[in-house]
Amino acid sequence: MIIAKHQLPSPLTGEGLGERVFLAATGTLTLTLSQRERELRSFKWASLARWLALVLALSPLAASALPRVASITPCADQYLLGLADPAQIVAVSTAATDPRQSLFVDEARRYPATRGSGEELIALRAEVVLTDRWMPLRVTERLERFGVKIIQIPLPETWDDIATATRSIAAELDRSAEGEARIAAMQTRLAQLAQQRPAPDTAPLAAYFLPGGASAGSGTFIDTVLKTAGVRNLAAELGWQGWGTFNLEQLTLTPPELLVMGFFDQGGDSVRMSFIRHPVFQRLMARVPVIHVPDRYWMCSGWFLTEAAAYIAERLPKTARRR
Amino acid sequence: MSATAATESMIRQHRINLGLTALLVGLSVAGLLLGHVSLSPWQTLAQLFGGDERLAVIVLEIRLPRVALGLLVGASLGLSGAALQGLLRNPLAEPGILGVSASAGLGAVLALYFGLAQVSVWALPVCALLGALLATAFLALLALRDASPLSLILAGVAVSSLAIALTSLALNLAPNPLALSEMVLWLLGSLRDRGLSDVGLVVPFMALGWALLLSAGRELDALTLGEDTARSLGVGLGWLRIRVIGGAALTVGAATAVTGSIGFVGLIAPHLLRPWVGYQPSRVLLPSLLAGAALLAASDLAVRLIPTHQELMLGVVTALLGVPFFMHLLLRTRRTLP
Repeated sequence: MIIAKHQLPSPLTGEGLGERVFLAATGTLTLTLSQRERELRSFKWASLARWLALVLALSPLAASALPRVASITPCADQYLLGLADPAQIVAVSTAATDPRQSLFVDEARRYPATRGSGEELIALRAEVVLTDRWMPLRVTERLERFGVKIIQIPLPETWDDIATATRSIAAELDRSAEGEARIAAMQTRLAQLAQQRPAPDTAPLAAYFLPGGASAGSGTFIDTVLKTAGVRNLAAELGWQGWGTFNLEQLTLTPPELLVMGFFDQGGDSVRMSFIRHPVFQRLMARVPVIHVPDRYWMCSGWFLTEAAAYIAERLPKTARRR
Repeated sequence: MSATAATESMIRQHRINLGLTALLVGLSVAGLLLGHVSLSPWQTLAQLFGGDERLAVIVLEIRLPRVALGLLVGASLGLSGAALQGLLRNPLAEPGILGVSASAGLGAVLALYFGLAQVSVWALPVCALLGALLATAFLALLALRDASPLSLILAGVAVSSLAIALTSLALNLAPNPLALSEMVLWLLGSLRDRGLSDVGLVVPFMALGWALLLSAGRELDALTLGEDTARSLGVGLGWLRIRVIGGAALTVGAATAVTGSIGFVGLIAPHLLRPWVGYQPSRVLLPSLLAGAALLAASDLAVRLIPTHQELMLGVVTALLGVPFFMHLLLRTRRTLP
């Protein structure tokens, strides 16, 4: 641990300490020092040592020796800010303070933000770097050569997998208790949502959309969220496994009763939105309820997905809410 | 060429045009009856006339605009390619090489990322057209200064590279995680989910562009004899260049504004036809228009019928369908010509 000299308050260390330390270090001063000055100097050295000991003792990092962790993707930011002890967070990604992408904007402001380059992370002396499984490997390889441990966050698709992932990442951060607390809160929330859920036969048929018209069938965390929210997933009922793209013809043939839109906060108006401008889709949007789920609730898969489900559940048409 | 030979070649050309038109009609009908939903053409027909409203929406509102736009865009690309190859007397010339597509893409992307597209639905296509016309104006200035075809092509390549770089820059700076896929969309093009309003938007520009390009046939024929001979035959070279480049900009600019840039059609359509219609530019123009439309209609049909979860990009398929033809032609030409 290095403490910059200028951070030391002057009453404890005496004026001009830096200068004297420098002179002492050069070894030229001893010849010219008077006895009194020599006493004074030894006193100051003792004082400095005592002060350093105090700082070390008070530092929570030194006390608990938690690994120093940085996160470099929006998803990793959520796991880090949600699980870690504030003292062990050395940096977050620049997306962590973007309210569209992060649930922990205020907390994230307290930490330096990096763009995830190797030099930044090494300069911050990160011991562990949290990233996503789909992160480019070049950076992580280089970091590992510097002895930095890389933890890749998986994309769990079910609540059980989310609990497992949360548990293992919490363990890596040496924060197992916090991980269990998050999992317990998630289970409570899920139980709550299960009580509000409409009976399966009255659950509305929903189509989930990404800005490009992509959607998610069974075996995806989107499907997990939709089921938890109490809607039937059109893509899954059409027999999709994994991700795909809706086409207007299919939507016309099997019209959904509800549209759930994801990631439209950042997509904005774009080339990919041409299907939304199509008159057929415009009529569909005018006819059925449209729920825009804020991006930050499902930036990636984690315990916070309960909030995406709750967001949808709260906005379901009234007829579907009775159990 | 004797009178009978000339008549024969006229008849031959008419036959080719008729054949291509028949092919287009067939592809269009197939385009209306086949699609994403798993219904056979007969079921579609039966239910369409059986009064199923959903089928009427699918055929008339989803498939019809798409088929129409595919024909218009393909025709524009084929015609522009043929005219530019005649004008520049270079078999590699195509709308993309002059930077028209890339500049239109730049205009569209700028409209998107500076929020103009949210102000009005017309902003995006108008900006794309402005981009295409701006690039064209630069090329036209060069053409008026009597530059050689080669320097026109080089200037076009430079304009194209600059437009692509600026498009990347705009996407790079836009705080949008989807930027990369947007870029790919502009580079490969798609006819997916386009409506009748898109068709209405492109028709006026394309009609004007087609008129400019189709009227240039005779002068392009004269140009094959060399610039000096063409001049002595009364061809205004500067005016001809402005018409052809302007026509290409109008048609391809409008096409790019709604579909993104679809490559390859403009390059190969004329080459596919030349062995049958001869090498005179005036004879290649109309068949190239029809062949471009047919190629794009066929590609779009393939895109819709190939059962992938994520629809294939149209530009990929035009290349996949076009390249084997093109290679076959090249090999055959090498064999017949010394």
